Amino acid sequence: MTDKRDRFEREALPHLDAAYNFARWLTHSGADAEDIVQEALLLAFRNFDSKRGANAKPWLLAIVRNCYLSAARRDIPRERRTDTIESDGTSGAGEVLLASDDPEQATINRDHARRLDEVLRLIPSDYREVLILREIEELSYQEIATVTGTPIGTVMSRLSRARTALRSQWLTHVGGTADALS
Amino acid sequence: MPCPEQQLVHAYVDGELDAESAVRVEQHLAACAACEAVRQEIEAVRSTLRSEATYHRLTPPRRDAILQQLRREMRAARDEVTEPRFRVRHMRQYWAGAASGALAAGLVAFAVALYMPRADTTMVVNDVVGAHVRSLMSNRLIDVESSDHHTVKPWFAGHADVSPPVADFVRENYRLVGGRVDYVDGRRAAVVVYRHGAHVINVFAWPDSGTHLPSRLLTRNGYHVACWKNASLAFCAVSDTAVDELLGLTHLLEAMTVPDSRE
Repeated sequence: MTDKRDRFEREALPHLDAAYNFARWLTHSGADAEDIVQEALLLAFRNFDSKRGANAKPWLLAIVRNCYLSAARRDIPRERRTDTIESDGTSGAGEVLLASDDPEQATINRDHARRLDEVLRLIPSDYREVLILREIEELSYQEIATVTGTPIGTVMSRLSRARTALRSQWLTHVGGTADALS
Repeated sequence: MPCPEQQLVHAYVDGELDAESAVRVEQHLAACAACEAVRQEIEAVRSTLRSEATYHRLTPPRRDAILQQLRREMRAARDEVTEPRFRVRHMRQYWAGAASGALAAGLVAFAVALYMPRADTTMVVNDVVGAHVRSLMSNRLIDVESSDHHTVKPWFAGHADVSPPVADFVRENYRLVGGRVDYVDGRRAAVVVYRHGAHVINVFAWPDSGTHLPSRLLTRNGYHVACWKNASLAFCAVSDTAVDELLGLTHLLEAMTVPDSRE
């Protein structure tokens, strides 16, 4: 049993930060992300013997994602998601979306990184998820397929649409002042 | 009409193609302006996401609380005692309720004590892991920010007790981001900071005065710590990257250290 515990510490715990970052991007809430990571770690430890594949990271992130989905199902009434906004990037809408109604927020939005976070929130959650997994966590297509439970073909097409969507949202909302994506 | 090869450009940039297909796409990119534009867009999106998107991290107390709860579960599993399973949300309120944090701190200290093999290696590991976590939490990741080793290396001369090897390993994807000074093993250690993907790797170096280093590689609270000695320096590299990625950097660094004065 101590052996299982050592292996878990060695193989799964190094991905704790990745698990939290992923949960945080799924939930948009630090407290919810903590709950999900806590639950996911306990589940992961209990089911560690059933882990397949050498790399624990996609396996752990898949558990995080499942915990998120069941929590979201439990909490539908108090859901306060912003990610269902299906802006197609038409002019006008974006200003309203980005210029938050909170004036303090609007000031913070001047910050470049902050604006990228905002833009990430504007794209559909399926897109955001695949971008985080690929570009931030640097998972392979196969690993992303494991995490999201979708075929590789879907991962590929979703990823290319996600990149296009992120870029067009960026150009629409931040466009003129940004250099990186234009 | 978009070029039919476009999907392959994504797979190419993502390193998902076999060598033969990759060469074919490279040739196509040289000939197709539309696909080359797509490639550049993909790279732009990638570099913006990697440099600008917030990487959310747990604060050390929350991280400790989560690990503490996990260890409780692990012990329960070992003893085959079925503890009542707290609803996670309740646990969080419970921890929040321990407002002074004294209880949590005591438990963490207890857990830490359990995991510590020997006193002086313990202190070194405590020092470097603690410094690593603090550097991520505060904005005190770097004192001198530069990807140029000609800037970082001389800076240490005036600030730390040693001047460690410094290099920017672009090809291997270990990017030099800067340097810092931290207190380790009672010395002013030089800390060279690297980035590997989204992960920060802190490499601590201080004068080796018979320091008892922990075994080559260990894991503490989810952070890997790799230690070695070279010439008259003691080194510890700390990160939450995968073990192989951390060792990749330590191998590069060991290879470049000047062995000793006899050569």
